[in-house]
Amino acid sequence: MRRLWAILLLFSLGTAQAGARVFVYYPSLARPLAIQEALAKKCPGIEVSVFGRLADLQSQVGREPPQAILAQAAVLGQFPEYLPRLQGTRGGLETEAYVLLSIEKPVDVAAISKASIGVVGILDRKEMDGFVSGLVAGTPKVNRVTKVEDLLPLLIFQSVSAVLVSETNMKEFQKKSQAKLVDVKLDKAKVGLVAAGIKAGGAAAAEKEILAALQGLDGATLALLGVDAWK
Amino acid sequence: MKRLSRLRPPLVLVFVAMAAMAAGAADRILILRPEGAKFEETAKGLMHELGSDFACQQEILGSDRPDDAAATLMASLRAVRPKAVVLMDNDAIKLYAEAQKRWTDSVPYPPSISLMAVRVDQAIAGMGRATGIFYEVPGVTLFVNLRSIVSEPVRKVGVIMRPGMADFVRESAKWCKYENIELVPFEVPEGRRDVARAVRTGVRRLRDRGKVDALWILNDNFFLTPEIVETGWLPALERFRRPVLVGVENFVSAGSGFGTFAILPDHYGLGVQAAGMLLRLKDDDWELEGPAKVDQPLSVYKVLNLAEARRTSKVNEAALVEVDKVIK
Repeated sequence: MRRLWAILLLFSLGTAQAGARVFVYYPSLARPLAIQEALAKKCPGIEVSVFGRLADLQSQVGREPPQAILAQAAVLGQFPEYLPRLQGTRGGLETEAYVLLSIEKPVDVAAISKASIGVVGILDRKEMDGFVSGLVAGTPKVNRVTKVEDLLPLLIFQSVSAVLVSETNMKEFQKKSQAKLVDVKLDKAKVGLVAAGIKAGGAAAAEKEILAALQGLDGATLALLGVDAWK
Repeated sequence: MKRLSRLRPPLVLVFVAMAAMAAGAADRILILRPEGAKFEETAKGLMHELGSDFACQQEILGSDRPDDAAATLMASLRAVRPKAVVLMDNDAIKLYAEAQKRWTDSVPYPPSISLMAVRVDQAIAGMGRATGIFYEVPGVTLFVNLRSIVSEPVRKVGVIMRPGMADFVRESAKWCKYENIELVPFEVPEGRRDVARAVRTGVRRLRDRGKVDALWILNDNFFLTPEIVETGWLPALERFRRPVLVGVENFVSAGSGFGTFAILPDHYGLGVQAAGMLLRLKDDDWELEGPAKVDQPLSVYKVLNLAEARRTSKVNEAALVEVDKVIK
């Protein structure tokens, strides 16, 4: 019996020290499980959890804070104890452009405050309203969804005047849909790409392990995070 | 959370009133729903999205309902004074419709949002201050998703239906036009005796004369009894050799020989969508007038039977990351 306890104790210690944990929140057309499997394969020894919903990320960070969070800069900003250590880039840029995509005819940007806009809710409701206002230079009614792909039916069913999406997602929608999708570019709509935030005061070994693993990711895995390099 | 069961009404009132007081100044929402994981998931999405500005009170409709459940519900409404009511499934809608009929208070009954019911549009047709979200996933959502998965074009999709579903199919056809997809219906009369045979004929005609690229099987019990599946669908689909779209996960299980791609409502997303409607309702000072308008569901859960997909089409393997569950 004593031996059994010893084995159990060793096992639990082993589990507790079984490497670093990383939480990922990056809404895209790829399913969280697919991103998680790809990252887990490339980051052996690191426990990766990919979340598809902001609320799940928030509650899990509250319960069991990980050593690192991978998320768009705006999301990471909601977790002040996580300091950005790696910034993702694509084509050498740290941000990507967002556009207003509508169906049949372009949305009237001058009258944006009278319009309803569909967005993925990457921040809490009030923060998201402010985020959208900053990008579209107005105060439209914001209609939130949880997944990027939900924006396309929102347009097809004409539930909103336009959806606010990254240029990357706009191109994906234009590939998927044969509806007449029209985009309007926005002057100031640049959104930070995925960054890695490390928990302040965390274990140095875990931090080192995570940063090394992320920097070793191949192009296909980085693409699932919407970036092609780290800075 | 509270169960609308055989509690004595005064006890119910005290309990509910206490919960309502605890809610303070937040806008109160009453959720009337049955038990079950999918209803919980929808309620979770709704409450997460609404956040702390709203106080949601859930009433669970159990099988041990009070004799006059409508009266008990009316008592809850008077005690909680919700700004709006969310009704999940046909039973909850029926109960609220009954309470509405008997409502004589000077203040109007709260507006309602109905979801997770069969044909919400028909279920709320006679109700006042009502809106909702369809539970049936519209065809266009299925077809656009199928187009991402297979390399072959998806231009014409066949559907076997009875006249009772014609309005739903017509509505779907309207959205399909945006995507350059034509819906080709094969109608089976309501009184038809040998439905299995009609299904076999329908599938054959849609394939040979309709030249459809895929088949959409509606979630309609009229066509989905075990006997009709066994003697109608399965033999017909064996020779169909094109993707078959369904709305039930079991129909794409390994070796089922039935469906290729199942698309179901995402219950959390449904809750978020309902929350959005509540927020708009609040912006409109909780006024909801005119005929009931029902929205299409936005968020879906996708299950692909990969072997079946490969048997009937050239699969775009890169797009599999967009599928929630791939059955290999």
